[in-house]
Parts: sequence; C-alpha cells; structure tokens
Amino acid sequence: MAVRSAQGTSTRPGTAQPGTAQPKRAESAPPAEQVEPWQDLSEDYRRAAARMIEFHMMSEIVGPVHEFRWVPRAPSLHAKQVFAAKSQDEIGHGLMLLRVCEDLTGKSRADYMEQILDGPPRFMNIFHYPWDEWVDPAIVAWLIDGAEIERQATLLRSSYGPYARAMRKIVKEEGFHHHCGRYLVAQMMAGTPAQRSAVQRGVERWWLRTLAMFGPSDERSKHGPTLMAYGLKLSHNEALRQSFLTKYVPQIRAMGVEIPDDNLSRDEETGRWTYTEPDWAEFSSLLRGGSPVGADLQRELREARGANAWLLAAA
Amino acid sequence: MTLATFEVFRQKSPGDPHVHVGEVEAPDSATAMVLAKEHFARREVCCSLWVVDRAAVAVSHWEPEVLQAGRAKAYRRSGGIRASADGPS
Amino acid sequence: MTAAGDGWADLLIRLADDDLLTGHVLTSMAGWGPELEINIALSSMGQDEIGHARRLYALVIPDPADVERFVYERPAADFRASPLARTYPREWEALLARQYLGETADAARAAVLSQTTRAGFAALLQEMGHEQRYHLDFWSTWLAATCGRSAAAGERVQNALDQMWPLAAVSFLPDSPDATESALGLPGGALEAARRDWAAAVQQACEPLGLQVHEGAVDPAQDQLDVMLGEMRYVYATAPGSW
Repeated sequence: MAVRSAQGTSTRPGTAQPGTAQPKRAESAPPAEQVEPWQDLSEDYRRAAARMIEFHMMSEIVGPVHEFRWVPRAPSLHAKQVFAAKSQDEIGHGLMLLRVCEDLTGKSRADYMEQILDGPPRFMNIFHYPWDEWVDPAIVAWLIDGAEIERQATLLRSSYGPYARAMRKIVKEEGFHHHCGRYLVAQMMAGTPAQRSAVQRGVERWWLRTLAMFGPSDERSKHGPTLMAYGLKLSHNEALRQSFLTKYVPQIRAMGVEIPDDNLSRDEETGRWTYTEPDWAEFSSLLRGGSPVGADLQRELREARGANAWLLAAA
Repeated sequence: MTLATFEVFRQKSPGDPHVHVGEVEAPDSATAMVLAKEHFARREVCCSLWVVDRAAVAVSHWEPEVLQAGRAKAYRRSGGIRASADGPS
Repeated sequence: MTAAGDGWADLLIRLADDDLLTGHVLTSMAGWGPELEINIALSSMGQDEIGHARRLYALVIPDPADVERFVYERPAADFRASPLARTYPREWEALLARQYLGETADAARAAVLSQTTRAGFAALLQEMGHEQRYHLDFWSTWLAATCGRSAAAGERVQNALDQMWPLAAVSFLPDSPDATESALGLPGGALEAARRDWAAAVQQACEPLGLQVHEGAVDPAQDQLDVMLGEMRYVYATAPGSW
C-alpha cells in the first residue's frame, strides 16, 4: 500500500467536490472546524485564504526594508539590541507566513520571491509612507504593532489551521514590539524639546494612517464579508478601531502627546468614539495601485537579493 | 543548490517529547539545523532540536473516524486496581 | 581614558570595539542577506556581539552612560578595532569570509585568554563562549555549503578569502601581546603560538573545500569605520547624551 509523503500535501487535484470548509452564515460564530491544506478545500476558500495571507506575508517582508534603514542608526546600545530584535521578529513573521502560503497554494519559495520582488504591491498602507525620521519606526512599533495585537489575537481562531498555528508565535512577539516602540517614544518624550516636538509631529503624521490601517467599516469593505463567512477573518474593522481608540487615546495623552483631531470624542453612555474619518480614497489607491515609496521598497529588496541570488538559486 | 523544506521539532526540557513547531527551507540538514535554532529557539526554553526533510515524512491517509475506531472498545478499559497494605481490591 | 601601556584596559577596549563593529555589521546586514532564514540568524549573532561589547566595555568603564558616550562620541582615531573588524561587506561571500576567519580567530584567542588568573574575566569568556560556539558552527556550516554549491560559488569564496585573509592575519594579536599576557597572567608568547596554530588550522580546514590561503597586502580601502560610525551616530547626533 502506497504511503503518502508530506511532499506535495499543499494541493490536491481539482475536483468538483465542494470543500469541507463551507461558508458559515453566522458572522460571529467561530468556525466549526479548522481545515488543513491537504484536505479538500474549495477553490473559493483557497483563493480567499491565499489573498488574505499573501497580503499579510508581503507586508511582513517589505515592511522590514523600512526598519532596516534604521537598525544601523539606533541611538544607544540598548536601543540597538532592542530594535534589531524587533526587526528580526518581523523577518521571522514574514518567513512563517511565506511557509503558510507555499503550502496553501503550492507555489515555491522562488515563485513567491518573484511575486514579492516584481509583482503588484499588495501590502499595508503604513508601508507606503516615508519613514524619514527615527521617530517614524518608533511610532509605528508603538501604535501600529500595538493595534495589531488585538486583531492578530482573533486570528488564533482562524479556520485555516496553518495560519492559526503561525499566529501563536506572531502574537507572542507582537506585545514585545509594542513595548519596544513605547520605550523608544518615551525616551524621546523625556528628552530635549526637539525630541518631544519630533514625537508630536510624528503622531500628527501617523494618526489618520493608523486609523485607516484597520480598514473601512463593513459597508465599504470589499472582501470582508466573504472572509468573515469563511472564518478567515474574525473581527470587524470598526470594532477594532473603536477598541484601539479606547485603549490608546489615554496612553497617547499620558505620554504627553496631543491627538490631532478636534472631532475626537467619546459618548459617555455608549462608549462609542466619533472621529475624523481618514481619507478612504487615498487608502484604496495605495492598496490597489501602490506608491513611489512602496515601489522603492521592492526595488531595494530586488537589489539586495539579486546580488546574493546565486547562493540559493536552483542549480 | 535547491532548497528543501525541513520540519522542525523542539524539545523543551529533557524528558519532554519533541514537538513540531514549523519549517525552514535549506539546502541540507546541517544548514537547516543552524537556521532552525535562531528561528524557533532564540526566545524559547529548548534543550534539543530535530530537523527532518519533509520528503522523509510519511503522512497518514486515514479519515479521523478510522484512526479513532479503537477508542469505543470498552473491553480495553478497566477500572483501576487499588493497591493497599491489605492487598489489591 | 586609560593609562598608556595598560594591557588590561587596552585588551578590553580592543575586544569590545571589535564586537561592537561586528555586531553593527551583522545586525545591519540582517535586512539584506540571501534568504529570510539566514537573515534571522545574522541578526541573532549581531545582537549577541553587541551584548558582548557592552559587557566588555563595562569591565573598564563602570558607568553605563559613559559607555554610551564612549561608543557614540569618541573620535574615530581613538577606536582600537582590528583591521578585520573594520570591514563592512555587503556580499554574502565576503561576509562569510570575514566571519569565518573572525570567529575561528576569536575561539583560538579566547582559549588562551581563558587561562588568565583573572577569574571574573575567565568566567565571562566562558559565558560568551556559548554564543560564540553557535557562531562558529553557523559560519563553518555555511562555508562548506557555499563552496559545495558549484565551482563558480567556490571561486567567489576564494576571491573573498583572498581579500579577507591579509586583514585577518594582522588582526589576531592585540596591539601589545606582551602587555596583554602580563596583565592577564599568561605565559609569554602564548598568543603568538595560538596565532600560528590558528593559521595552520584555517589552511587545513580550507583544503577539503577546495580553498587556498594566499598571503597578501592589506587593502586600506577595506577600512569602513567612518561609514559605520556615520550610521551609528546619525540619530544620536540630533540629541547627544539624550538617549
């Protein structure tokens, strides 16, 4: 009797059979079961999962280009170690998500590298903006990584088994990233007037981008309903944004920073925040069409990997 | 030098089983090992690592119902026998 | 600063400066290496080296704030880093050669230094030795894997070795081996003997990989200390002493 090897478990011959993962009607109900890549998954499910996870993966691979422009410049030995460790974690996240994608779609490492280096830019809005000052990676680690903690915790229950498992290590590390950012920002707030002013200006730069990062609310979300039905997405964008505001508005103010939104207020009875909306047209444009900054990330990765490609290229 | 996928297993403390934690891609098991250590053990209590070429792993083909058919067999279970100074009961 | 001819302080600063620069090279290059798995390992090793530098500086400069100023404000001319540690390679084969030679030298030198009568220092070397052991294994493994990839790969490594070996050869010994041996209570000539053994061991290790050790001149253009300090101090300079 032939024994199956673990090789090629990612894809099975296409059949007309519906996948074991069927769309679930109740949005908030957890998926009935987790599925694995070697099961009969429907093409729709595979495609939806691949699009979502590839987006997360590409973000974790191009994002570090920004960070590694700053790793050499950390302004103290402690910051040097801490920021190197944080950036290292992001590479590790990219690697784990890449492995999940490879097994889900059957594409090889080489295939994915071509897609990442030469393909369309499919990554988070935050990486499409310049990170021109030290305070930029610090604020991103503080607020964005902080915001991601809650969203990523929900992904621990993803219907796609390998992704849920990868999220365990990622979630553990995200808390450290938030603390890293908070420490670096606090250092500056305890420093010179120029350092404090750099933080204030930085938060003003990043505020709307951070709110936009959660994505538009349900009515405007293109893929959200499908992902929720498949158990691939387990939280609503607006709910996460509200939760972020509840948690971080006091923290930002306690840091001594003013939030650049006169409309920001919280209803005392419902606890619901009202705020100035980010520019959703800008957000869509970045996610669909990319940016010069984003193109530059891919270019820099191409150059670095191109020089060393001979080492691991197929013989 | 083609990359192979290596499954990584980590043992926390002596006596613990080696548990699957993920994969690295590498040309061979020696390079896979030095890569696995930092990817999977840099933050963890760990006393041993295994790396196994995925091509060497055989995967079961049985449905869960087949793998678990033996669990319902009541004749395989017995109450515990209590031992005391007066003998077994 | 330290008294002239203070063999103990001179050694510590030399070792610490080397580890600082190697830590800078590895943590910086971790964004740009050949593959994600390798980059993760580069960063770990770089963080280790910075940790070693901090501990070595602390033995001669007790106040951590003073250590920061020593690293971030000292004139480049006052750095004691070796020629090999001042190289800043961007290509895999050059980084490989730098690290293989640096780590084998480190291990050979540490074996001698560990015999010191200064018990605290011997204990520190032993502790750092755990991380150094992994570094040595990493670079030895990848030296073999890289050379074994193809004849062209072997040629790249040979060229890199030709560039790095002259620098490594003059980087093994501290500036004043006598003063060092005296300060550490080591037998005279121990470091020179270790250097000869190390050079022979490198040649022996290279042979089965199809590599040859060629003596050569040190290329001054390889000294990238200014570039490294420029990177390190870029943010610091915006608020000196305020980090």
